[in-house]
Amino acid sequence: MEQQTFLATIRSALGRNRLHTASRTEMDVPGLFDSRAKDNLEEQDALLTSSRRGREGLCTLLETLRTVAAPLKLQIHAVSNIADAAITIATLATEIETEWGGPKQIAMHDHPLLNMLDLPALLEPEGIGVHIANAEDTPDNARQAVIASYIGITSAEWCVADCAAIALQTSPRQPRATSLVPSVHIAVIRLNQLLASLPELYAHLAVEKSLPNSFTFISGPSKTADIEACMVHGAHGPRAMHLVIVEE
Amino acid sequence: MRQSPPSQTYSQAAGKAIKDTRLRASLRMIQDRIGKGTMATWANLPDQSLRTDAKAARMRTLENLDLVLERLATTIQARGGHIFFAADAEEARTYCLDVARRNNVRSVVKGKSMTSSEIGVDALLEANGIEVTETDLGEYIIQLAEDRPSHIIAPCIHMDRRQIAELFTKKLGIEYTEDPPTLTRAARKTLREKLLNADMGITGCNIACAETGHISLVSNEGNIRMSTTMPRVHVSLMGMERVTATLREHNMLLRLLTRGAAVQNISTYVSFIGGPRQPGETDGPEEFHLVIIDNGRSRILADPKYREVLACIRCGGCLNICPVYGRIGGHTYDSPYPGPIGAVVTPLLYGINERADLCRGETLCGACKDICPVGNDLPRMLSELRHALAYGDPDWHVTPVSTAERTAFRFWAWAIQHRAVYDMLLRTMRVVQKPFIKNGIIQRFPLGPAARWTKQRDLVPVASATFAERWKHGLVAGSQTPPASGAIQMPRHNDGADRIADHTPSASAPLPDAASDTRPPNGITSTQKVKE
Repeated sequence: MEQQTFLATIRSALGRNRLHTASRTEMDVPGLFDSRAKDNLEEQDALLTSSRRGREGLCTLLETLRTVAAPLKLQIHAVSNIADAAITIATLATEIETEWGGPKQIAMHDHPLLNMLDLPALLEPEGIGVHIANAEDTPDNARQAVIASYIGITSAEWCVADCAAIALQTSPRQPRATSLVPSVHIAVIRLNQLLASLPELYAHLAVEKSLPNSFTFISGPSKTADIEACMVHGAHGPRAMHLVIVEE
Repeated sequence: MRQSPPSQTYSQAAGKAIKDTRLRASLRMIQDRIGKGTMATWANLPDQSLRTDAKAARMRTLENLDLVLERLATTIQARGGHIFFAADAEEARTYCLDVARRNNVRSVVKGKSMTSSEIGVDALLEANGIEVTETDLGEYIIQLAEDRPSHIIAPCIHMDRRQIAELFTKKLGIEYTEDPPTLTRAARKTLREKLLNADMGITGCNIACAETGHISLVSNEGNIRMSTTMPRVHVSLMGMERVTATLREHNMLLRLLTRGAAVQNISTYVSFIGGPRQPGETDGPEEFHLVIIDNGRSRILADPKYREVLACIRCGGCLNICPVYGRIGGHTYDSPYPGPIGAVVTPLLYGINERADLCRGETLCGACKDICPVGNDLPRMLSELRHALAYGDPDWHVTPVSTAERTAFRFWAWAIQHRAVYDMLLRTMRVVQKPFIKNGIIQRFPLGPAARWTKQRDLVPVASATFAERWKHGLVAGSQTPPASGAIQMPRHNDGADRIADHTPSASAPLPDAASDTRPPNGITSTQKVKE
């Protein structure tokens, strides 16, 4: 059906006659799409609160995050610096077994924080390869790499403490599948990326210049309770998730 | 759309479900866990105005739905997505088939979507040689068992682990086990192959956001992210009302949705999708299609009596508290939308006369309204539907269901306004009922509407004296048997009361004893004394 016919049906359902609707535009309903406006108090307040949060506030959020993450089986590793983060991840990589067989290989986003970890050099002696996402990859290559990986490593834009969810935007350097197809997902963020609540996260989304075609909130490993309401972790996404938080 | 012609009536299906003790136990478990959990969550929400604010935003969006959908379409098109507006189910499913054919699709993976079953897309694709696989574990089990889902978020709640174990042994060829983690792993392995190799993914849409131009999908299993990431083509099916104007409204609804559905602060995954893979990106679908579906919704929008039902976010919360759903289960509703929400939406989408049983089966107890994240007044709408069935409604092409019933009630209305007629009726009834009273209750009555009533229920006999008569004769104080002194208590007199209680083992408290009209509770006694 034509868009205009479809919308005309809706207009007439709403009791608007033709005269009424011919000139009706968004301008006739001020504020209909206003939550991204610059002068929006609620969102501005949330942004201000999160930007003014000092170290103490962030540490409180970290404690909240730990409490909320535990029942979700999202494992939190708070480390003091980048070097410790790298060691934590390397240890995990050695300990974790592959789920589908084959050699150990890691898929990783191309992200400044992740690159500082220097994981390829650290893991090479262990015989673990690291495939870093890049725009030169063909889709087929990228696909094979991520399917062959037992661990996917990403960063995140933000992490919401009160629901233990990271927010991850897709881009050529940050493909979707890295956090999804490998058996284990490890995310690395800095302490100051913690936000208190979903409304704070939405306030940040609202002031983004342009949101990408795809972004995702993730809170822990995939799970299902479809068989007799019995909770099982590891449905179709990762069966374990680690969040490494760098405090420095 | 009914997936198959009903093999049994509503009452037959309900009767069967009530006798299914295993089903009742499953439903009770889900209601105890999730229903009560959600109610506690609402009571403890830090922001107590969240639900009313969300409802207000929802209604405002519905009132401007034309502009909101236009914005959603424009923004997604600008990012390279395709929008198709479907007036009805047929247009929607045909479009899906066209997209599949154009892309030489041989296999489709599906994320759980009630809209997809509403439009009946699976059968059409399969008839055209396309393999369709449900990927939500519950839906997959249902598909393997060739069954129908019975709950919005727990589709196979009516099956136990033994049935699932047998099914997996037969269909997936695994060793027999009743261990849910092992069964889940078996499905994970099988479905991973399907998810990684499918040509097209079909999902629903939980909440779209017009302001930013995204649909959003919530899931715990990750199957929806897989279905929208790995195949070449992604088609999202969206009922036209499932959209917010702003991000702020989206935020409110998301918080309500996951709490209402599963007492979660947030689901494991929330995916926002606003178009296909962008230049330079190495994954994500090459084509993204959003099908915006009317299929009867504009008619609901046009009627102020029912418009608010479009504010529903399909969390399934009302199923987790409804005493009727909790006993008759999802299959009895014979619709993609079971439970109280289904009892309102199904008749509106498929015909009020055709699905007349649904609104009459609910109790109007109001629990669904209490639990609804957006406070939809489902009991009011159920009453509206009953009104339409009783008196007819030309707007909805409803013809009155029973002229006999209507005539009877008209007569009753007239009779109770005429004292002499009313008293005569009572006197007649006292004589007529006499042979059928056993233990203070009529268990079987041979004639008229009372015969149908007593087929499944007991009938309380007309009292030997009305309250007015007893009042007049000074009998209200209970002169026959002076009440025991002490605390006010509900009387338990005759065997009838015990028998009623026996019939409903789930009721923890005995029912108020309606048959004991002749002996009032102590409360009335003291009132009488005050009067004296």
